[in-house]
Amino acid sequence: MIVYLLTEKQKNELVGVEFIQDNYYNPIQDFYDNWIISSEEVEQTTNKNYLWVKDLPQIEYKPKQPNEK
Amino acid sequence: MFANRRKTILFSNNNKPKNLFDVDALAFINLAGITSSAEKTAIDNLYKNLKGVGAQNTVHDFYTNLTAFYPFAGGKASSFIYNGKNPSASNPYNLTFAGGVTYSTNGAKFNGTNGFADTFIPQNAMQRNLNGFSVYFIENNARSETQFGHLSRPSFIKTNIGYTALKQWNGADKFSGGVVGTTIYTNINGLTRVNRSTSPNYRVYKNGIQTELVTAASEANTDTTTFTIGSIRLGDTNGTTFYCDKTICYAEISNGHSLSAAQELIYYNCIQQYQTEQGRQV
Repeated sequence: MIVYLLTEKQKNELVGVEFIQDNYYNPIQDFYDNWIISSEEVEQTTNKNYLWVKDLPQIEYKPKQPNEK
Repeated sequence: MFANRRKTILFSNNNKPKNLFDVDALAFINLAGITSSAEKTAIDNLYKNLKGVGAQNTVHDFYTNLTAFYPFAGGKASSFIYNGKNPSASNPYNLTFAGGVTYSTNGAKFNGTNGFADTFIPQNAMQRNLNGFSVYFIENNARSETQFGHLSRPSFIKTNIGYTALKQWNGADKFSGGVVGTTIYTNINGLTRVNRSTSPNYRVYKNGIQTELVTAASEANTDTTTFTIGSIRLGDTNGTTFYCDKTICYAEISNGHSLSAAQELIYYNCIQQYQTEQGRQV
């Protein structure tokens, strides 16, 4: 699965921002602790101040192993 | 004279009442910006059924006992956010979506990577021995995920509907493995409802039929973090994990109230009619 790679600064810029009305970006860390956002967030972005997400580098997603404990 | 005019407006020529919208259904339709006549009818019938004045339910007032329910109608986030109970823009349990979610008339499709919705319903508000909650989704693919839930750590008090591969179930409110409890389900889609009606019984219903009875004492919980749909909330970090990849069509939580076995089936029939009228039933 393809996701979009963020720098720490870019991640901070997206926290608390809506990419469409009533849906906020949710940057998460992958297995390698890279900050990423999903293709759904990038594709639905229409806010002209954040169109830069469409130019983010794409990487293959490797999830962290979820841990309930 | 004025009263008679009003009567003329409300009643048709053959003296039968016109098919008026339920007042709360109409409030929801207006708030969520629903324009499709099919969706309007489905929503109106949902409210009437939940209130005990519909085709599926003429007896039970489920509506009063709901804390929050999410009809997921209207095909967009700005329609899906609203709590159907006492619908208003300022309802404290209106949803906020985050991460990868796409929207259609089928419901909210979570991406299984980082998408979820916050209900703003805190875990510590839940009554320990009298509550219930449910979720309806379309896909039938089992994977390690949560569709609706909360997990307090390190106490590990878990209240969720979902499938995890951990198969841990160590006591009160700790549901995992299969969908809940210890059963591994072949068919996981449709309506799953967990209910706590009497201590120590947790009952699991799949499409209105009880499939599990799990016994456990409940535990006091002071965790103020909130339930999420499409993932599980982690109380210690306020983060989320075990994201689901399902299209969710309905979710509900009833705090301080439960349903009998007979009511569970009627409740399912109400929800199933709602999904069928929108062509998204399982």
